[in-house]
Amino acid sequence: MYEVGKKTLAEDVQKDLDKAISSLRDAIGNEYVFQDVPNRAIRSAVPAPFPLHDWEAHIPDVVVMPSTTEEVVEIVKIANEYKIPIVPRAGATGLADGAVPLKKGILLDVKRMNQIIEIDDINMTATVQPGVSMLELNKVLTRVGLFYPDDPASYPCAIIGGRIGSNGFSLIGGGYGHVPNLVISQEIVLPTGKVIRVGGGGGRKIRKSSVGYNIKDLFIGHQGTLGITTEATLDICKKPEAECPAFFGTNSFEESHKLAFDLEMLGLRSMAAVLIFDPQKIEFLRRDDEAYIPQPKEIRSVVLALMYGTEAEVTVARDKVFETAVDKHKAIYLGDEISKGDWASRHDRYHIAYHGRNKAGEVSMMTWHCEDAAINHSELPQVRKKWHAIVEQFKSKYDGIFDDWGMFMYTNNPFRPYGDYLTEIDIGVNELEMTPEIWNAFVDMKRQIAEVALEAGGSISACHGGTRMGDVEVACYQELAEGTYDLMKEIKKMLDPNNIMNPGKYLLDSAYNK
Amino acid sequence: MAESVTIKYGHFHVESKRMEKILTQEINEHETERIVRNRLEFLDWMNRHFAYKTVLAPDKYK
Amino acid sequence: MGGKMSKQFISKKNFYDSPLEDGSAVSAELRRDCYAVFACRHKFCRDVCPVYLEERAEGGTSYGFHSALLAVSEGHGVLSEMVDTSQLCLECGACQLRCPNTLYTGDFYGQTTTTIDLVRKIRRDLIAQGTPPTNWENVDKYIQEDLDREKTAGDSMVRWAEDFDLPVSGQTMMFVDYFNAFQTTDVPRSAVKILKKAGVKFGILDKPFPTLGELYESDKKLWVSFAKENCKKLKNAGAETVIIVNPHDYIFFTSEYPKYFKVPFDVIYVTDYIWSLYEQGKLLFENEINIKATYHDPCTLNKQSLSWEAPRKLISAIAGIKFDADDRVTQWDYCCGNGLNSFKRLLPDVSYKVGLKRLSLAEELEVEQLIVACPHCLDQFTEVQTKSGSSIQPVHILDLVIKAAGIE
Repeated sequence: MYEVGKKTLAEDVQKDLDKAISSLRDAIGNEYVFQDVPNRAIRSAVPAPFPLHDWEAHIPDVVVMPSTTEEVVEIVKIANEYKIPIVPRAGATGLADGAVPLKKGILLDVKRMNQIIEIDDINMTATVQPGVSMLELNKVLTRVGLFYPDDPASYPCAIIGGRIGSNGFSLIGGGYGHVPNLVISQEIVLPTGKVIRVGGGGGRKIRKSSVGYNIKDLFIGHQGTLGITTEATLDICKKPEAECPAFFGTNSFEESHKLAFDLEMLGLRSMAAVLIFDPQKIEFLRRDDEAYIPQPKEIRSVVLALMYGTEAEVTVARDKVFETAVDKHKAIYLGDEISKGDWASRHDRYHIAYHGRNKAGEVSMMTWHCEDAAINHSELPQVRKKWHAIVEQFKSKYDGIFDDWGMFMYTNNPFRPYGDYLTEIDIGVNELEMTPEIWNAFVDMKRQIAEVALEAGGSISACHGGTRMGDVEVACYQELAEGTYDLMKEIKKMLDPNNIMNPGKYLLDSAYNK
Repeated sequence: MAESVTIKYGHFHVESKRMEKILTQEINEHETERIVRNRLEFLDWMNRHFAYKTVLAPDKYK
Repeated sequence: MGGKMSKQFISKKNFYDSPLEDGSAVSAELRRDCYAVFACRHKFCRDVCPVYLEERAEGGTSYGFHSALLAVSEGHGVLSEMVDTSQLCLECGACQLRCPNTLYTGDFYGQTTTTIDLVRKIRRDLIAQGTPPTNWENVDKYIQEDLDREKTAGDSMVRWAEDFDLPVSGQTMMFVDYFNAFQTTDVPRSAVKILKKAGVKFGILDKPFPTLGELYESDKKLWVSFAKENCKKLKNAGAETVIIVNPHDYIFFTSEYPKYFKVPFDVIYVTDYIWSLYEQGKLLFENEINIKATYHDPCTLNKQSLSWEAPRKLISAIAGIKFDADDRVTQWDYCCGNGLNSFKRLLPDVSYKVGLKRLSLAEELEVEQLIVACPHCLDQFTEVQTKSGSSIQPVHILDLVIKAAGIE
């Protein structure tokens, strides 16, 4: 095994690595094995804040790009033979470091596994390899009026294998379900190289089966620690006839919170999501978003009701939403232009380096950090206050290093938009000036944020996973206490006897301690 | 507190003092226009990608 | 036509001019510039890249180039390790437009992602330090052909126009580059016929200088000096308006030359010019053309400028054409595979794959012809169609205008 952070390897380890790389070249071809620094360095980070000062520790030893299940099996066998870690990587758009190597090794990039194997327009399934992106799939499906309704913030770039590995959240999950609801079955290469298929029915296109353990879900959200998905059968739908994004302004977060509840309680089947933007988020948007800059000052918080369905369904639902928001709650409709434009920009409005500010108001280039707890509706106000207080403390201490970009809350319950919310606080982090001290402060801030979520009865992650530094201890030893984490370790050790798959994640190395 | 912004080439623009330390580029009016037009068309495209039609406010609420 | 100022799309970062080489430090500006893309790391750029969509090679995306150089700045790797990945860019412009830094806030902060300029810089710096992009020798040969022509060609420069009796001066000049003058001669010939039919008085240069973008990537100084010479000659010929028949040149005249000097006349792309002639009633489309066709947006007119409407309007104005085209945003991730500068000679196999993919997308629309507005697209699709046996026939839009207007 490797020692993290060391630039040179022990002689025997280097020899094994050389032999392994030679075997990898034989197995999948020279062309798809990369040892040059640029190709390895660019596959070490994901969009979560990255320790630039410690980049070397996360650069994999070799990058491989297989195209078939058989090639994946070969790679896994080679890794086992030489006891070299494998980190699977799809779009690498996740925010939980799932695809970041912690112990170097083989970076298995699935992007060449990009075949759409079958579109079944009778039973409404699409079977794909894991390197296909949702956008790619939908460009094909929409030509025949179909759609795969998984819509993360990274929709235009997220790749299906990664969505499965991280158990992703969909912005329209309140209407169409999230990843576990949308993945019907999978083919998986286990850490030993054995290939299995999980999911209901002999044809793997059955959505609900009561036979056996529900193993399929074990292989959703494992962050690459239990194997590699090499094929997935997905639940597709007709492309929606109509959408209606309606944005309403209120005077305060509290008013928005009440309005959101009444919208949830309308019982509309076409409601795909209810979103709340808190005052700090509106202030952030007023800095540079042309849709928000001219909004009247009394608009301090915003609620979005989002409907999808047939035009008839959406029109009826819309009327009820407007009655509730405008007539009953006296909220201000923000207008057609912002409703249409801002919903369409939802995917990538928040990833812009120039958003950061220091105390003097200067633009300070920052990356986007997104906390993503799942919080029950009733607890949102108190969590919000505590989170902002934590971030404020770090922002004041480290001027120009951290910035509070406000909060969003998205309904989190699949198919029924009420009950709990993906609760997101967005934090600007200045990576260019990253030092070990600042990194530790960042991790400390994250730990405090995670603890608040847990104290409120929430989960520390609704969409990315609990594998990041700062989160992971809280996840393993608090949220997953009462037996779950112990069982995870048993499962990990049973499936992955050599700890090959993405070692270090979820602190699962401890499963192997004697 | 939200910031005050300026108008440049007919569009909102950051106050130049905020960019003093990191401004490295020269962009002219037509390039600005090109970005804005592409943005608007891209947003329309995203709406069309997710649904055939975007339903907006009932007339009485517009 | 006079009085309508042409559009120049200027986006310039001077610090790209400071060369980078193995062992030298990355400047603070370049580090920050590369970081601005790394900061996002969502890679919206990746999934609009026509090369990525075929090859899945992340190193050749905007994220890949910027992140690799940021890694160099942090002490991981050196420039010369990019000899292979530096091949991978078409310079189509999709990634830099799609980057949130450009698309969402470029106008607000006055900072955008400029991947094409960065790739040119990387290739130029690799060449300068003696570690050129892999296969650069093929590009070099191609450049040499044009340099030889410049020295020796003489009258053959205008042989394509010898039966037209065109003056070498005029308020309106048509600029014809070497590619059109020597390879796709039907394109400038059609343009001349259309303009004459509409009664436009115009001239051409008797001896233009090379404009090929490949040279821009290897010897910027020489390329800019040729550009200045061309503009000087056009100005001296009396040009107030210059009509361009190659959209690569259109981008050079409107986006690149203004970075280095003032272009002293209006520049207009031939399809925009012909559309205005049609609107003014100077050109009539009398003939029906009964074909099923789609349209391919040249990257330069779509992703790099605002000249995407005129070809569509012209096609729609011709009776008989059953026209079904993907919208221009859908076409951001399309390319004929030729690329703006060196790509086709660096990676001919990938160039073919990208072109074949575009033809297959046209086939899905069940059309017979793929209308193009760029001589390089025409050349590339003709080659791919011949090699693949695709049922889709490429046709230049000026050919259709000629038929519709009853010229010949």
